[in-house]
Amino acid sequence: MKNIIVILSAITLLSSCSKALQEEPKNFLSPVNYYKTEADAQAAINGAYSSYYPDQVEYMILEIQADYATGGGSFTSINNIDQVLDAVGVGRTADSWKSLYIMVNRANAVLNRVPAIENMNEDVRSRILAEAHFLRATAYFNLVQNWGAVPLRRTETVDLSNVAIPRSPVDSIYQLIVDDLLIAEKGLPVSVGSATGKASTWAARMLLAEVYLNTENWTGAAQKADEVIESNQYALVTVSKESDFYKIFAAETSPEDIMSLHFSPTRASDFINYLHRPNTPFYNPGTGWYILFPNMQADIIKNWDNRDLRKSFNIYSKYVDNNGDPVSLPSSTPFLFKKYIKDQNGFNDFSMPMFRYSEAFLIYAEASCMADGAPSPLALERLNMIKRRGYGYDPATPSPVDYPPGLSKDQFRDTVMQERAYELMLERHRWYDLKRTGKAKEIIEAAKGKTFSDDRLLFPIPQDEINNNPGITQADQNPGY
Amino acid sequence: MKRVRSLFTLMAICFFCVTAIAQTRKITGKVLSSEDGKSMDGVSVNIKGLSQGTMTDAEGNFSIEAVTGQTLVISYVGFKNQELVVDKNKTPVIHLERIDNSMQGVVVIGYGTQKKKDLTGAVSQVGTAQLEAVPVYNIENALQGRASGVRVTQNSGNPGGRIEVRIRGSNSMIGSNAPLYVVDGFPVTGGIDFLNPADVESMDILKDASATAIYGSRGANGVVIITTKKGRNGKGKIEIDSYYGSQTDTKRYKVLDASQYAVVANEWLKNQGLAPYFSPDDIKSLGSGTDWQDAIYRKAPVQNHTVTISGGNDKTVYSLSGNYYDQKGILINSSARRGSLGLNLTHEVNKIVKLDVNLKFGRNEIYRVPVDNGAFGKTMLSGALSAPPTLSVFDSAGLPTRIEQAYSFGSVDMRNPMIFASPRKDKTIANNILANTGLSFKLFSGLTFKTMLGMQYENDINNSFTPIIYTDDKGAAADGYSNTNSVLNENTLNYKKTFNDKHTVDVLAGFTYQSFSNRYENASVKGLSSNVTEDYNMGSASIISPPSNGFSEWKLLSWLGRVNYSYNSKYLLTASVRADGSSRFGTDNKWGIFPSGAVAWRVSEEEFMKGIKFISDLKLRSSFGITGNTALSPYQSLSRLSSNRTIYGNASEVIGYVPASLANPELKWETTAQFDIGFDLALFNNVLTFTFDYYNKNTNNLLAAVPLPTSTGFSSALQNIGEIQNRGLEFAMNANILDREVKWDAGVQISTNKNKILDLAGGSDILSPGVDIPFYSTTNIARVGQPFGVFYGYEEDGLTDDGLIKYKDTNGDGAISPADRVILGSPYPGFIYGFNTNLSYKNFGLNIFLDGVYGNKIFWATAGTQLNAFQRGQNQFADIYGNYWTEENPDPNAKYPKISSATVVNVSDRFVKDGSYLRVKSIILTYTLPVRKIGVNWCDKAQLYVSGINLLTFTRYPGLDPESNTTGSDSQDIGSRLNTGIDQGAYPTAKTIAVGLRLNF
Repeated sequence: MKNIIVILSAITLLSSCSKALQEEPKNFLSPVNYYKTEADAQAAINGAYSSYYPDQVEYMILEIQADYATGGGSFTSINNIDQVLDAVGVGRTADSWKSLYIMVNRANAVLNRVPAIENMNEDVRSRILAEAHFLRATAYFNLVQNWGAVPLRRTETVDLSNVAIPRSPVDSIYQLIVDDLLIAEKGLPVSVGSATGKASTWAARMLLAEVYLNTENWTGAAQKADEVIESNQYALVTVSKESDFYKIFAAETSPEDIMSLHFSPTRASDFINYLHRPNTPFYNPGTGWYILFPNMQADIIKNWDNRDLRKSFNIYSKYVDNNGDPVSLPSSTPFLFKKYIKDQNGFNDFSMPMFRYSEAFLIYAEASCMADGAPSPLALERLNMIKRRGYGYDPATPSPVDYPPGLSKDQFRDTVMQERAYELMLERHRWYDLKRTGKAKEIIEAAKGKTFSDDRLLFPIPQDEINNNPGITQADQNPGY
Repeated sequence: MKRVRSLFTLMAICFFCVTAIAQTRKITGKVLSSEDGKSMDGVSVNIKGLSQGTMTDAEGNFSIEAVTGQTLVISYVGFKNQELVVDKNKTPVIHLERIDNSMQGVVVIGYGTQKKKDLTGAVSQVGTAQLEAVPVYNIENALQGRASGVRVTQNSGNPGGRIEVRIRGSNSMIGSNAPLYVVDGFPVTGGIDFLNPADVESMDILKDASATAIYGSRGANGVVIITTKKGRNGKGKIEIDSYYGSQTDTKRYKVLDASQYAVVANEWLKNQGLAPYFSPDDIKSLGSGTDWQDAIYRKAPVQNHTVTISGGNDKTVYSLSGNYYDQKGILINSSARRGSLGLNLTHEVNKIVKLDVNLKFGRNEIYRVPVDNGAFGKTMLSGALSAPPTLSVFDSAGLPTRIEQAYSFGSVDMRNPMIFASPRKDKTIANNILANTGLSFKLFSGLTFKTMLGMQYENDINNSFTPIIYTDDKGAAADGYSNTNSVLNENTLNYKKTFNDKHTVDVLAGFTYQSFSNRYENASVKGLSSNVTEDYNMGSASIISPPSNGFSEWKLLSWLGRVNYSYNSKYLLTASVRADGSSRFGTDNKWGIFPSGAVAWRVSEEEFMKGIKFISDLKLRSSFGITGNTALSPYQSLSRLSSNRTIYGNASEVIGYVPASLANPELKWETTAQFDIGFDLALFNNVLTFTFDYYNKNTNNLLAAVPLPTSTGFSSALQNIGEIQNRGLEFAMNANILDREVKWDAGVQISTNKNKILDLAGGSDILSPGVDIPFYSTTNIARVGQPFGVFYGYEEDGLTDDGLIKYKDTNGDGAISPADRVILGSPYPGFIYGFNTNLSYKNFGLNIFLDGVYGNKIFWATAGTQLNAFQRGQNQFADIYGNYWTEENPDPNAKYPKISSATVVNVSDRFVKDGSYLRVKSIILTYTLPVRKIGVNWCDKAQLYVSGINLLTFTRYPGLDPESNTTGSDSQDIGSRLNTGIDQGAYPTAKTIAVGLRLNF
């Protein structure tokens, strides 16, 4: 009998170790044991920044849909501007939506977790939070421009309680973006040195200026652009021959670089592969899939003045091979872009710009003209500075190619649009510019020779979202899909 | 004890010396069975208290040296022991009585044993005789076709390859569907291929809920209880079993020979608008060319040697066994070897305490060569099938010919299959230790307490090395280590008592704890400077990939209880419950309760049945219970962060941490509710026995990745949503047809299982990722109302006017799109069966075993790869010659389309083939040497045998082996699990002829 009691009590003691059932993972982290120190906060924002690199495929679609480029290979169907996107295109835009919302969730995670960290330097904290606001605003700006009304998620997804969220009206999304950027502008630093992968207050202001152009807040846009121009942080790079532009585009950074994407030999960009043929030194000593080429039929290219150094900088038809002989591009691809090139080891590791100083000038020119009803002398001057630099003249002195004064508001705006196309070619602006000025249909039809379907103005809401978000039904889908 | 015995022996010797020799005499006697008077062979006759003894021969005679007054103990399994005092001048004839009158024998159930006649659950037993019949590497292979409801498939013929066992269908979509293996009471993690098959005494397969619920959250897939040989009270025995065999391939693909290949190559070039490569003279002179399959197949030896030493007395029983197994694969550079040592010891320390020790050590070494899931030059078999027969295997320099560079119309994907030959290696060494000690205490009448402590330790080492063959090769090497450790502690109290001779009660209560942990590390490099150091000096390579490692662990705490009640052995009742707490479940659901109940009625014991003489036993039984499947990997209920990198400038990377998965504190086990009803019938004094079961299993709370709207930042979350049903019938019959001079018995079993998905998260279909080359498209689908993983693809409708494959527009929308795909067939058989018969006459014995499946389909992906291959100048199946579409003779019903790069193959009914087969699994002829007759006394038994394994297969399947399933995987991703029933370049199983010898001393 005694034996039984002893045994039974032993068993009961053993059974009280239900604590043994708690899992303690050793080879990965969980929010339960993370977000405790300043280093954790920095790692969290680093993680959010890794989403900042725009989806390459979306990049391609935006450039091909515009007027000055066409797509080949698996992107050929994007050229069919008279139809909605095909199944492949729909799948690709769904991937882009997914990565944008991943960025939103990562930024929300920072905003959710970092404020609670104890023993953290307050300046560092406010900077990190400002960066999170900036990243979230970036994601939503892309979402609202491409998809229109999208579900607005302001908090980190930690469980399945908040899955059903309907599409929010466009105005409320822009409101969130503007609010985020106003906070970001205050908390971000004045200088980031050569680490231009990080956001500075000027980057936030540039983004805000672009947002204001979309919401037609002209005074706001002009104001922000002016702040950047007068910031004393940047300067236009001097150009006297076309290859000087590589000081901006084939470099780690430049005096014009406000914010850009940085790469390394082990983390390289894919986008450059889309532009080139394989083995075309010195632009591309490596592989190349050449599926994005200039559309020489587009008016913007047909009317491009040959004296504009940017024309021969952006587009080429001959290259020099390893023996020094000039070689023409084959007839299947007589013209290709060479704005972005690989380094001599074949790595795509030069930076790609997100915000450049020259864009601030162009924003100011357009915005102040629209605000004033006519271009002011300052607006004209700033526009001309970019044109002069593009032709190889000194931006500060008048040149023979200056735009004349006396243009009307609309004429001036069109001129700025044209200058933007030349200056910011392949920098993901053209499609948005055509959309917001209402000129997409007219210009693209003329450039591509097909009827423009208005349904192409917006990407479709991904089917996964409609299927699994109870707040969005099939009826809420964008027209044409 | 020992001292007393030695003293006794000394005394006996003294007696011997001092007294007359006449006092020790040769006693001869005979042992017969009391039920039919037949002589009994192999009965132990021992002198009580001494370790001397002997055994009866085929006529039941024995002879032993004994002294008058000593007691002889006569014993035999299944029969009651008898004792006899030695009396002079008497030649004793002993009649042994069987222990049970009806279905004899005992089955091992969870945490105990039960007499077969008292069993309320559905349990199949496979004993030594059946297990020894098929000499195999992995004991699971020996189960094939033996037990109703159990489907065993050898997915690949690779030596040491994976065996898939399914008991009553598959329940889980991402969890494991393999049954729980319990070896001598220890639930094993990982496989059981470290066990020496000759060590296994019996395998008891628990199928229904009442038998498996005692294993709670691990019982849903059935439980296979393996009992290893323990030794017997009696004279020490030495048993040796050795065999040598030779394996050959059973079937090879017929491919084009050199001149046919040249014709087809020219046809392709013509269709591409290019000039022909081979001139008409070339074609005439080429002849048959190189037989590439000859270069990779070989006749391969297999050998197996087991020595078992066992014995004991009435206090201690032991069994020690050692085994060496060596099998070369029928494809070169593949093999499996195993050495194992096992020791089982049971000892009664005193009247109360009994000690049980079970130790198993196993070490196996497997060399693998890439075969399964191959296309073009990626693996050895697919490489041999696609290599042009116009080229020789080796070039003039003695290196494998670079077939990918030989022809302009060739393809860079081709590779000479000989690059996979030695010195290339992919070797795995696994060391396994299973150690168990148990103490049981007889407390007071009927109450026993048992405690067991066991440990399983496995250490796997994988070495792979890809040599530099050509000057532009870089070479590669990789090493991986994995350590797994599992500890088990079980404590049970058992109370057994019979009241008033009528009521028997057997109560069990217990508590168990099991823990498991695993660590692994991998390192891989590229760019070796020479082949000499292989993978032994990876630090000297030029490109070193970052190493990876990982860790996981889980713990399981359980309470269990069971009551067995029997009234007069006529009315039987079983009830059991188990509570499992697993660390893998979410915080809200750590504990699960699994109850079950069963009733049985032995109708034959009723008064009204006593008159019906021809029915010797009839039992009706039914059970219902809930079991679970843990299905989850550790840590999945927690939210996780993963790391990534970004660059702010100057090409320097920084690390970031981002949310990677959502927590689900409600994650729990998958629940299976199973209902079973059946009967066991024995007729004509057990000459004919039948067992029949009907079961219905519903598994819900299926784990699945439920898709989320991507705006949440996540694509899916793991949840318990989904339901699958398995229903089936099992039937087994055994007949003891003749039992005289000629003995003949036969048995047959048939089972059916129907699998159906009842509910999927969101109701929408899940598509499998399918096969990459050449289809790049789904092959299987999970859809509500269909079995899990039916084939899904297009229907073909002849050829177009251009000779390309035409598909049916099944939805009539005028276009051929993925919406035209339909369900093409099921990879699950309508029924599976096995037939076994034993014949013996005098000293000869013959055993024949057949098994088969009927009604399943196989997706023959190998054919897809070959057909698509002519896009790239590769060899084809011989069948296409003269059967393909040509411009000169455009036949829209030609069997094969245009030989051109425009021909694209899709997942279609062309590749869904009938996988039914009937296989003569083994034929064994034995001859027992009459050792007693020829006066050899030092040997108790000598038996020669010849066995043929997989001798014949009857099937309509055009592939090599209808058992193949190259994509059956244990992956946790539903998509990958859906890929089932696919044969892509599977390593075929071999035919073996072996000769063996069994000796008992």
